[in-house]
Amino acid sequence: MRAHRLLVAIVDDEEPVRKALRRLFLAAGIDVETFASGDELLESVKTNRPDCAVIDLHLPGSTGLEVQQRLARAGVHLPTVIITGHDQPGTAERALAAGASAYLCKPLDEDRLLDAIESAVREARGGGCGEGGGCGEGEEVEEVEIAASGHSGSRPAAGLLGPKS
Amino acid sequence: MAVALCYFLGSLLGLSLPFPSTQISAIWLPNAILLAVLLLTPRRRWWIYLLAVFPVHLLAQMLKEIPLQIVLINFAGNTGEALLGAVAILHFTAEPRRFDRKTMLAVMVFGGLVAPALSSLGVAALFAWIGLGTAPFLTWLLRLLTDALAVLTLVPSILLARQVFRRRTLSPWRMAEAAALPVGLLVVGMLIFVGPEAGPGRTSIQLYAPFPLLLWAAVRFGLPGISLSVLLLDALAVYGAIHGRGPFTAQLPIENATSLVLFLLAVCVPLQLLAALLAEYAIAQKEHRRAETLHGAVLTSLHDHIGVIDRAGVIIEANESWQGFVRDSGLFWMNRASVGVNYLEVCRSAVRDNRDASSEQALAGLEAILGGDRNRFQMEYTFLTSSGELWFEMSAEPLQRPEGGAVIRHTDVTGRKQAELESREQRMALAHLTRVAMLGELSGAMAHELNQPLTAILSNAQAGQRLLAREPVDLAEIREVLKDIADDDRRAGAVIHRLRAMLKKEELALQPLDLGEVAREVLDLARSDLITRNVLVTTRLSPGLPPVRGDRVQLQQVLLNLMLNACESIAISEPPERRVTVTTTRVADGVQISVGDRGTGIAADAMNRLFEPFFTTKPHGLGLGLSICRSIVTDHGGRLWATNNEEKGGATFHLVLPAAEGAR
Repeated sequence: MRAHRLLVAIVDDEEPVRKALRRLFLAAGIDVETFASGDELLESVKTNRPDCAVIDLHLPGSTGLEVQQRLARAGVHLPTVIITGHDQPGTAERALAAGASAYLCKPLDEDRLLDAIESAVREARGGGCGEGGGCGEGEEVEEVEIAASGHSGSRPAAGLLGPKS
Repeated sequence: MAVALCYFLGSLLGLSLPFPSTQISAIWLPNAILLAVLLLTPRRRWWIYLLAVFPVHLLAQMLKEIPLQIVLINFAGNTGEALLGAVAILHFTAEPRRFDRKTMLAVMVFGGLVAPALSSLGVAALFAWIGLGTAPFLTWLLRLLTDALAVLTLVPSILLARQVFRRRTLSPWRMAEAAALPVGLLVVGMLIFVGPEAGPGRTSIQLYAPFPLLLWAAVRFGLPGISLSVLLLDALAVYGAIHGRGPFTAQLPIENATSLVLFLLAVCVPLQLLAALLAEYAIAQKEHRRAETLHGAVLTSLHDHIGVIDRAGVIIEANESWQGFVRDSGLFWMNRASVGVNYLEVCRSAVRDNRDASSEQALAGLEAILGGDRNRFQMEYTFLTSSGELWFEMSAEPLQRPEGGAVIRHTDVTGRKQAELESREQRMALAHLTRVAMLGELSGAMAHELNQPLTAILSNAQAGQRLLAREPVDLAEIREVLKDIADDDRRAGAVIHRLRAMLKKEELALQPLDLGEVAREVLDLARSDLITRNVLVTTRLSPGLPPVRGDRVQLQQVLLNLMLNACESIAISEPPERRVTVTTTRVADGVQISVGDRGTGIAADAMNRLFEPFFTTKPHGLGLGLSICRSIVTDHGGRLWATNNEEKGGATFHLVLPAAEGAR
């Protein structure tokens, strides 16, 4: 079993938000690359594919959903977590219907965010093996480790993957 | 008909009374009557009268058995004289009934002198020709003089007859006077002309006796009075002369007659001129009094306080309102400002005692007007009375006369001011409401605006907690985290602050502003909304523009409104057209900012009505936005208008604001 650090792409048009999320992910042991627009992400994806993309809905140019669609059309199967500061009725359904793994509202709680990323990656990986995980034997199971959160008195570290017990 | 009758009677009378041993009638009234008639009637009717008179003339003369030749000559002479006189007089005066000096002179010279002279010349010549001329010169002179006397006494009387009888009810005194005069004249006349035996000794002194009475007649009863008085004396004198009595009996009959008539004329002419002069004077007086009364009434009626000061500043006249106000107001500088007081001194003492800016301003303005530096001065001022605050407008203008001075007016404009203030308040309230409504529209976007910093803060804080759990703790990184948190917090605070400023309902706070900065702030405010609507805003903000003087919040409101309108117009456009351009440039009269889109443009019939209240092309719009924008811009001394873009379609709204004073 080997663990490797996840690479997550963050797409948000505001610098302070990108910076903060980057810090958070690094502190949680996740590698980060940040983009200010959907176009930038699509460019980068051609050469370097991240494990997951956290995309803000509210982007200049193409919206978050459009970026998702363009990724799909380009044949890039990238698990996405949609985040937004401006939740409107119906958007969540549309986002999920368009293939997003999760839809989160700002401000983002770290636990839910990290959980969502973990699930998204897991789904993408485990998707080939059938629903809800459980792979057949003979398949290498990659372990993904996300460090426990720093606060005390909290529930056990979420999503610690290990060999199925 | 009446004319003919009078002529007839006059002829009879005249013919009955010739001067002894002359063929000249002592009193020949017909010519005078005819002349008066011709003067009173329009020219085209004259032939009627002349024609009417002819048979009468014939009849009268026939009755006296005068040979036909003479009759005809006489007729020619009489009518010729009247015609000549009438034509000449009318040439010089348009209105013969208004007996001023000019008319009187004309009557005297032409009616009384030239016409009779010429006609008498003609008559005398004709008489001589038919062999009747004895002492032609004297004949001529006598005829001339008697006609002159008749004209001078009768014509004014006839022409002014209507006036005389129109007199308002006479007081008993006047009636007594009017009765006493003729009685007096009668007595005196009898004494002089009829009573005494003829004799040269009587001549000088007694002749002067009628004079005081005639003077009295001229002064108290005017032209008709003197004319009729002389006529009366004439009658008495003629009566006396015919019976061989009176002062004029020393010479040949014709000479006597001539002397008599000459005497009467000498008395009559100056007194008539005097009477005419007095009449003129009386009319001028009346006119003057009427004008004075009118002038006085105008000033009294005016509600404004009007005061007139001379060049030194002394009040020379003040109307009722001014005086009343000075009396009743009991206020600082209007107090003591009555006629005779130096108004400039009043203002100066007000400046000294109260150190009040309006008094200073008033003083400066008045001095400028009095000194000829300004043509008009106006200012508004306010003061508190027991019944509240009153607003007044004071204006001053130079007095149009050589000695200079000024006319000052204080008008109570409290009502108007209050209405203005109320309307301004209402406009402010309306602007505030629409502002709030606009921000309400943006509320979703605003929430998003606030959410961004909050997100950053939360993630930073949570990252920080994780970092603290590590060994060793990276203090430098923690410090960065905290700094970022503080920055984001401040950013959020700024959003809230801006929001609150826009939501407040406050008085205009004018200050120098950079329009480019105002535009950037508005873009910041609307950023989220613009992204939501998927609109790309391009800015072309020129650097180095002069500041404009304005209220930040209100100008932001205008720009925000324009931008939201632009977004609405491109709502159905495709992405390449979903652009709004904001440009700032320097123009001649200030700074211009233009907000342009490539949307649907403005329809021709909507163009004129764009800024009308309640005009809207949106299905759910109230239609107040642009009209309020325009009133805000107008309040700022600027202009707001719209044009359709020629090349790429859509419309652009232009806003020009004057550069702040002192900034060029």
